[in-house]
Amino acid sequence: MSGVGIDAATRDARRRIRIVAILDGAERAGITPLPLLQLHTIAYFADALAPVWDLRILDAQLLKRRAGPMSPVLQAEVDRLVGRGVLIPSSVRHVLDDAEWRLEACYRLNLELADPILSAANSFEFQAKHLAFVREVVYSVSSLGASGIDTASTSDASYGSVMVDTGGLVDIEGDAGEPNETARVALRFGELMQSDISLTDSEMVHLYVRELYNRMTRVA
Amino acid sequence: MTALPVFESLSVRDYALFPGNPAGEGLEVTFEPGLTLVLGANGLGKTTLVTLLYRMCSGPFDIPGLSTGGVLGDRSVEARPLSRPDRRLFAVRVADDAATAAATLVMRLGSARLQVSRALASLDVTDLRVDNEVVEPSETTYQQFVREFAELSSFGDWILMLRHLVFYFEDRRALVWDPSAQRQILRLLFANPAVGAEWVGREREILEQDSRMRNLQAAVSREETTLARGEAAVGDIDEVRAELAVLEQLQGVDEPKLQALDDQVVGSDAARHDARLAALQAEVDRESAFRDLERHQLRAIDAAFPTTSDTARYLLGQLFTDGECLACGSTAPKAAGFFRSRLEGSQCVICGTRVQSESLGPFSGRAITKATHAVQVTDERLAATQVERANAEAAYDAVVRNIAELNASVASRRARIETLVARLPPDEGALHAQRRELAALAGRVEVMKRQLAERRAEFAVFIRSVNRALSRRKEEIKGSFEAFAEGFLLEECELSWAPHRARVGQGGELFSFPAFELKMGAAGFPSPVRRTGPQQVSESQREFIDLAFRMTLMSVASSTPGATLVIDAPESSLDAVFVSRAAEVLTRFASPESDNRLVITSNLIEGDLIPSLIRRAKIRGAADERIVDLLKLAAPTAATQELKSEYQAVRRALFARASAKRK
Repeated sequence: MSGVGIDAATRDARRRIRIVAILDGAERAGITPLPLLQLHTIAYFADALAPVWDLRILDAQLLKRRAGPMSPVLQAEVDRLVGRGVLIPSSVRHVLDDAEWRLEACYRLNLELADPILSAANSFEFQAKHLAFVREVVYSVSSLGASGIDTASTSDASYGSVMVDTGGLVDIEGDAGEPNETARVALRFGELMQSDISLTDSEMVHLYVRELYNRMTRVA
Repeated sequence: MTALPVFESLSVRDYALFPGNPAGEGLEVTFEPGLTLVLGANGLGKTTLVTLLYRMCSGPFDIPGLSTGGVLGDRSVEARPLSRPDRRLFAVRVADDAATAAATLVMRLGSARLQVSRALASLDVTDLRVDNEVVEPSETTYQQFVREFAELSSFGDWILMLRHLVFYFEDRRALVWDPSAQRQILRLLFANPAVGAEWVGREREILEQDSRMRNLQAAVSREETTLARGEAAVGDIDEVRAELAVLEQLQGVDEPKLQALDDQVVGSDAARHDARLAALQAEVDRESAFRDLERHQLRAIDAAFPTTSDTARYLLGQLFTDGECLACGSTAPKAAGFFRSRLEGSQCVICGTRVQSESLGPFSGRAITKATHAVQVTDERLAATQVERANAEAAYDAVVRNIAELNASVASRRARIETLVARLPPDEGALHAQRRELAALAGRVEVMKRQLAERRAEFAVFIRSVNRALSRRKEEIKGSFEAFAEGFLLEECELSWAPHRARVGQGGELFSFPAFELKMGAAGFPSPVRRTGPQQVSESQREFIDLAFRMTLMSVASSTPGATLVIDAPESSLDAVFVSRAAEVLTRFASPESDNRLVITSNLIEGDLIPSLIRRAKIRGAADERIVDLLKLAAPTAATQELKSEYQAVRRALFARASAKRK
């Protein structure tokens, strides 16, 4: 599920589709241009919740950072998409964050170039499912509001786990065929429903994010 | 929360090693808040005095194997009585067998004052008082009060606390690098006694059942072999029997191999975790270095570029920094050079139009050279860690694959053996009975395995909730450690909450136990690096990191003010510059306001640490009661008798240095 063993070019291509899908969802949800860290946070949730939809996780391990998820390998693909004209960056600047330099920018799709990509992806059943899933993740996460998205990972069952310190390894691969904690909590909503009501995969994702919101407001 | 022992006084009587003052009244030490300095020379009994203090607390009990160094591991933490020779450790040091020698220790434990007197010949309790009230003088009573006042779940925990926190023995393994010991210490310090007892109880149950199951499994294997031999020996050796013999032989080879692989998977998992973490950290460091260089490049672009196009800046930033053309993905050093020359010529990079611009210094300055070098270094480290990660992933996958294959072949062979056994003639009565017994035994093994799996699952839930509770203290512990460590070391030094994955017993799942890991700055690394073993730091750093960690745990965990730390002066590992820093941190721990007791033992040596400590503790001279002068109080050695005047001169010089510093 984690994509280990897949060649690097395929993995990079999958990341690019994931990025386009996130920004497409963000466009529909009205939250573009999307700040870089929010893009990475949504990408993280798309990975963490992928098992709920029986989809593959692109980046199963990441370093826990105080500011939230940020994957350099995903960012490299964001940069490439800018170079290809698919993404339009704005507010580009460099910031020193927690003793590390990182790029701060906002992104939106260049629809002229992105639409053909999305159309092509939608013509394949698996990719269409992937796009739909990412869209659901973006919709549900966007309901948290900008500041909510920024801090959502800290309340997440995997990224926010008290067992992983800043600088530690967040592993969402799951153990021995079991899904990761985030997906497990989302799937638990389905199990907790009365037997005559079954939740769709989308509903489980939305319920999980609603639970996140509850946790965040409790913490606040 | 736990109460740590606060030593108040020690008296030793009729013990020939410590005759005491000229009147021979023995050794009397009062531990005032702050520093108590035990000064001596080789052979005068510093170590004996510290051991005596320890044995006054532990009595004739210890955790077997704890004094041999090395990690705590899966060792039982139950306190056991000492062997007779070990109980006589003080008796054998003196000619009179310590026949009438006795010692009394007064210590505060929480809100209670405990006074224990022991015969040094046997370590037996001779008198016991709680808040000056006489109570039954027995080891059982003493241990019961210690557990109650220190808020511990067992006397074994008291021994662990003494050895890992209070006493700084030479044979110790630094707590910060022993996750198995940390798991016990964090449990006893931060879990309440009921939870601690449940934790230990559950672990013990699993260990016992695991051991019983394995013994039974071994018995089943032996029976199977015997049965196979027996069946092969009955009558003619037909094909079935021949095959059975071969299969049993193969099982005999594969089953131990499977066990070895099961053990190996724990190490492979840890190695994979480390390699993943190192590679991800290298990625983040590389990203940071890259963005820093890009930032420098963009400053130049900003100065020369006539528009504010983010896309153009983005493209050029990458081209100059990485040499990569983001438009097509090619490496394009020529294009980078061409555009750079336009920028340096104050021309628009796209159309060549001459534009007004500020200085383009950043392209050739020292900062850009430094940033470029940083990117090169992080690139190399990233490449190396990625190779290591790929190797570690492959090694782990190989072990897991081997286990799966071996499991499958052992299971299918087992099924084949059962089929073959069923095909053997039914009239071989004795063998039949053996088969029935074997089947019953194998059935019991399966039941035990299921029970064990259930216990492990329950323990996993329990330990998760305990971990959650303990992790709430992590920021407090990290903060306190940084405060102590920054006094000892100039390197950036921090603790990271890094639960340790380990098995309980020889098989089953890995549990995450509470533990901290050390991170320290290092030359060539932009961020602190994990130091997972004592060999990864220098000897002096090792000593002070261990001290800082102990002081931290004592400060954070104690439910009542005050603690005691007994250490040998870490003089030899300190250079002159760090002496005053070390003295400052030690003095801070032992500030009278903290109510802590710091007992430091030292030979009369030339270094500046002891004078520095004496000065900071405002000790005016050798007569101060905070100085335990073994040159006066201990039985003299041949050296101290013959070279008495030289020793006295060294002592005078030591106090003179302390006074000189004061002035």
